[in-house]
Amino acid sequence: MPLVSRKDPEAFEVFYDRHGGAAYSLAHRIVGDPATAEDVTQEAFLSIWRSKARYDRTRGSVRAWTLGIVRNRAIDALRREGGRAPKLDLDDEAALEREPAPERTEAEALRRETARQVRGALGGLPSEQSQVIELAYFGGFTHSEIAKMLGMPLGTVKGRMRLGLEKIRARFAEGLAE
Amino acid sequence: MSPQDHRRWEDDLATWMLGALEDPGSKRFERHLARCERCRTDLRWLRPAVDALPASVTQIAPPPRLRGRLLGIVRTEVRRGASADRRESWLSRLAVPRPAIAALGAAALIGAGVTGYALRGGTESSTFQARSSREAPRAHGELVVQGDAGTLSAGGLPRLDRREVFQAWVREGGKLEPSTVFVPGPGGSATATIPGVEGADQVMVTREPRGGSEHPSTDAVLRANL
Repeated sequence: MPLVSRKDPEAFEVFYDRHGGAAYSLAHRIVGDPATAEDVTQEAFLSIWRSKARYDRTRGSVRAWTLGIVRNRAIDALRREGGRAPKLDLDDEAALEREPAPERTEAEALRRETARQVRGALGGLPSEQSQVIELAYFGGFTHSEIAKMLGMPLGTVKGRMRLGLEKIRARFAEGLAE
Repeated sequence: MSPQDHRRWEDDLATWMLGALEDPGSKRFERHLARCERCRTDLRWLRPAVDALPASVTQIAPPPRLRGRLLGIVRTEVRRGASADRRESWLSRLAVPRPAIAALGAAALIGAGVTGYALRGGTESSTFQARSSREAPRAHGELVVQGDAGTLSAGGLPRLDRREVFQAWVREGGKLEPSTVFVPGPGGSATATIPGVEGADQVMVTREPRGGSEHPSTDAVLRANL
């Protein structure tokens, strides 16, 4: 990151190669459209490049920081187009099948395995907890929008979010996908 | 604060971490977080759960053209930045007062056929008219260059297919670099920021597939010679 912030194109290339796939995948999951996902990923990486990458290591990993930026851009794009999360299922194998055969690199295999494990952790939640987490994180809905949509009190929505996150965290603490 | 009283902040923490807590609750929670060590501890504990959510999505390889376009843009910006630094250094060695440099610059630009010139806050801006082509005879535009960036204001642009965008290109010394993609409003007008135009010979706009291209795939609808 220091090299990216010093405007080193080679460092930016490495940075993109390391995080571009995860960024595009997240954008695709949120906006549900390959072309918009591409626009969102481009906007996010250029904003990191042009803002000289104000990464703060106390706020988590570079990847988490980068994907946070991608998520915000994707939610903005979703709101601009008046759309919302296209679906709420945890798996997206149909999209995967549409893709050309991926490079079977070790990193690629690891990412897919991590994705499988995290999906398992999310899928292991009671559906009412995974639902509110997905609506918030991937759909960009606020807690009051979710409460209205699901016809439940605000406190119940917040409580389910907390319980869901705590369960995912507890699964990690047991050694899953960490 | 009793554990029961604190429970509502714990709920707010999870909602806030998921980006779903609205104002004024969000601001109120952030003020609380700043002074509550217990919430900060919970934040550190829960962060890996939120950070893992993006990893739950199916990993899809981005199109290779995205990489090419991004790297093309950053390299162009670096090259333009370096040439601007060299120019700045050369001008500073002249030890001429800035207003005089601006005046010299204005004279040179007008002599080169520039259609407009302005001083804004001590920084020159130059305006270039964009010419339409047979592809889009009603298109018109104006490119205002200030520093290293240009702002293209265009009108009369043809309607795009849903899966198309307009893309700007910057030509310098025979080399064409991809730049901003944009979509006009319903009336066919658009404003787009185009970085790295300082020192360029021409800016042009083409229709491209959504997401843009690494090389132009259609003839230009607008061209501005700089």
